[in-house]
Amino acid sequence: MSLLKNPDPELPSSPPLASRITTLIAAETSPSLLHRDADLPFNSQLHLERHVLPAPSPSADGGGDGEVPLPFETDSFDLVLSSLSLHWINDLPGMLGEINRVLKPDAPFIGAMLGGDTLFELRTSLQLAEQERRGGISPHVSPLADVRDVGGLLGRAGFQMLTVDVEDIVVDYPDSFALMQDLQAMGEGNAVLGREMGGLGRDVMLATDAIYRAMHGNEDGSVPATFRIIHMIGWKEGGNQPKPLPRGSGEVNLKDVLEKK
Amino acid sequence: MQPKTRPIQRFAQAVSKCSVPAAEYGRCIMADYNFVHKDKCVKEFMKLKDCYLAAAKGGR
Repeated sequence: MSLLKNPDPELPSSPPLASRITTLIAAETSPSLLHRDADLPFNSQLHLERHVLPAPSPSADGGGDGEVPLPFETDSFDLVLSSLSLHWINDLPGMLGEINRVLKPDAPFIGAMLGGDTLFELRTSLQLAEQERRGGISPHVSPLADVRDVGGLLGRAGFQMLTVDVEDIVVDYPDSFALMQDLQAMGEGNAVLGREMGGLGRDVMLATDAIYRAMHGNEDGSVPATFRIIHMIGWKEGGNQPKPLPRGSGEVNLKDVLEKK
Repeated sequence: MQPKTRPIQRFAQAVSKCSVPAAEYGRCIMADYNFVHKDKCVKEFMKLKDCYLAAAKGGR
């Protein structure tokens, strides 16, 4: 828990954040992911509950949009956090609406998700490889929300005072196979329902690695992979919350201020 | 834990010995990547594949 302490030695030390949390509820659709760290010492230092969320069942038409409502009461949470899992949600507007519902008034949602151009190097190389080797392409990477979309989605779900930011993390790998292994270990394997079943053929993998190097490779022989992380903060509407002033209510002309330099 | 060498690692190792034909194949694709069609670079690919097959045999 030392990580949660204030790193500045000049400031008076404060107790770890964990001591200020009454109840932390962890919710996930995957039981094994949810209970992965159940033996670690931090579990005894705070009141932690684990909830396995019912998995959405694929609907009859093959789409997987049957997101189940969150099994929590309305207006019951002081804070909702989501770290790198929202990109697995099929019905993102619906899930954000659910998060908004369970939050108390004037309580924040803080989230980070993979989005936009994540893994664009792998996607483009796979596409070219399949086109040249097999004469057609098939989806390997799930569609991701764009930065532009996230602000609108949060607003539509009823969140106020939005903050949305992006961060590109570029990781260099020795080859595209190491990247694929890493993605698998992250639990980020291909799960597009309409995909061609079975792994990639060897020919396509061989071609992909060569194209990845030619198109995106670094000078030192490694290959970069971009992870674009969209950070977002939104507040549920609440009584004393500051609100933007109505349009046209400004009394100072910015032009006057800036020109008077 | 995962087994010591997974098939994909053996695959990657064999491919790593073929950087020259791989670069040639990559160059062929990149020369005109907006108009890639089936077997556009089949000659270069077969060289790469032959190299990989030889490397995979030798590596066992």
